[in-house]
Amino acid sequence: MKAKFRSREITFGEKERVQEVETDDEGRPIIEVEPDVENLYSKLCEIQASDGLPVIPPTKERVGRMLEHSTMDATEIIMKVPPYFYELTVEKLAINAVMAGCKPEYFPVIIAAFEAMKEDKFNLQGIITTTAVPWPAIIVSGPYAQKIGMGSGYGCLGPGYRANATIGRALTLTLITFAGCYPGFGTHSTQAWPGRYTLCFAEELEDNPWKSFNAEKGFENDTTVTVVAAKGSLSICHLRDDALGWLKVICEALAIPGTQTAYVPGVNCLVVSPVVAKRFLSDGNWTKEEIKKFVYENARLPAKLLLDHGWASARYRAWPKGSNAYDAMVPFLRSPDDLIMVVAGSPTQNYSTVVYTWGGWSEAVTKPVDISGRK
Amino acid sequence: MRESIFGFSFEPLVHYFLQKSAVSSLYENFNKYTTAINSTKNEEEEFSLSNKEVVFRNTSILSPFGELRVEPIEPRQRLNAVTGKIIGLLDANKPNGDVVMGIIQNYLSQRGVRDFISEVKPVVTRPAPDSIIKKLSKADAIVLSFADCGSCTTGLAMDQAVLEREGVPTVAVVTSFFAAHYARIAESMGTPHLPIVVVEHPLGDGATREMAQKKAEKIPRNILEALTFPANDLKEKYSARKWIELRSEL
Repeated sequence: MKAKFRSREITFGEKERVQEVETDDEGRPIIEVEPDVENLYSKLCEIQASDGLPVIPPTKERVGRMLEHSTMDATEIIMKVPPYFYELTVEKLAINAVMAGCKPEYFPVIIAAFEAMKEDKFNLQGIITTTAVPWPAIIVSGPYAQKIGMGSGYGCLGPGYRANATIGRALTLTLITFAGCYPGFGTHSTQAWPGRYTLCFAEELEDNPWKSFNAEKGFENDTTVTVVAAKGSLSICHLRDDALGWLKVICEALAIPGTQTAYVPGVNCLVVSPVVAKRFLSDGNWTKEEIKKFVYENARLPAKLLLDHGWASARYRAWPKGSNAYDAMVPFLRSPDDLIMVVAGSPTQNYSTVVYTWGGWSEAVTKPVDISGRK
Repeated sequence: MRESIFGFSFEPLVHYFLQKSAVSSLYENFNKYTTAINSTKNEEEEFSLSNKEVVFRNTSILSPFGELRVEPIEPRQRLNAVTGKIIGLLDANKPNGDVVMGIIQNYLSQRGVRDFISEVKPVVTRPAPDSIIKKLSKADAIVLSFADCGSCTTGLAMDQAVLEREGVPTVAVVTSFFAAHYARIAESMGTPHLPIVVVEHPLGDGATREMAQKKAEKIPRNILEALTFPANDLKEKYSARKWIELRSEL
């Protein structure tokens, strides 16, 4: 059987063509591939079924094992994924998760990420088609993250953890392969950033002196997935020996010109290492709420500086009332709650990481992970 | 190739000696015997080989691609003329948006437009809220201006598709770099022939007000045409669809 599906441009500038594919007995489109890993990889890159890295072939058996970890029906539609609003079924998501290298037990986390991204306030169609840089980052909070081996310690924002690497990659692959977000085609980011390959990590649960993020959001008994439109990160080395000094540096690192939050204030993320979190408690008994308030009040730049940079001419400037005066200070957060604070990293050093975002054009969304389908 | 326990086959050697010897009946028997063994072996070999082919050579993978499932509609019936009509103006809220829309509005009012419903999108990176769509859909025709970046193109194409589906004839201003993207969004929304007027990029970000004015002064006549052309001429000249094909020539 032959089936026609929406065309994809194979290379930039090439004309549109409708690609015909075979279907199996149940009418699902299939692709014939060679067994040799190198040929298979070349073929999948050629038909734009890759982010550029090798993928695992999504055979029926592998996809079937992935589907066993969901309570939903394989044909159930999770969302219509922009930019072209194709209907993402549970099976299509499983196919892309297999390709990304996910273990079946990661699947509930990936489903939760898409459940979160489908919320209108996340503005997924904006994030993936903008000429700016953002891409959904995933923060997992709760015991299921540890159970499936997600990294929350040493180097957790970087490579080395299969779960972190492949869950984030499954999201990206789905957007590229399934939804058609090829550079210059479905996605128009001017330069993009390496976090688009994968940016997925877990919050440290045991070595964490504060209330965990899932509990903060009202999901004490669940593991949660939070999606954020991340556009870059900066690691901050804390050299001074007092918590207040650290906080001042964090504020200055967060409020820098050139970020989207300079003209559209909004959500920002702060990842602190367990040592830093404990130090905040021992040196001045800083609670999460107090830190958020401090950052909201101090992560600001003078309006005259930003106006000189040209934000004055931008029609889409969204500063709060009172900040437009030449001598006012412009906040980078709309309220203390705009700061997402999680503890993650190694237990040894005084480091924090600021994760910049697309500002007020996308709201962070938190959803619980449904693990009841897990066998 | 069959091998003995010695690591090589004695078979050719035996063949040779038996053929040469006088005991031909013995040779015949041996021949029958070896053929029988060979045929079972070959069948087995063939079977295992074809099995391997099924598993490896013809691996089928499930298609990871999204599929478009939307019934396309034709553009709405155009106006006979704009004289005496109410025209909706949706400003995408890009820099220089006021310059471009001002020139269009000025031209249309000189052609006898009775009234305008002017709206500016509150957030440039999103589709317009329902309240704005509702106000605009009361107009006789709508001009959307303009799309010159990624997220604003997506949002504006979605707005235009929704308004055409509401039954109002529309036209949008798009810059050259984003016309193909605009067309793909239009197609995905089930309105592949959304009428667009394409202006050389840039128009908003990266363009001065003078540049924007110069470029915008060239387009009002096309806007009028796109709102009043008969269906076939409209598709021929203003359909977003053709920008997918034209992309390679840009």
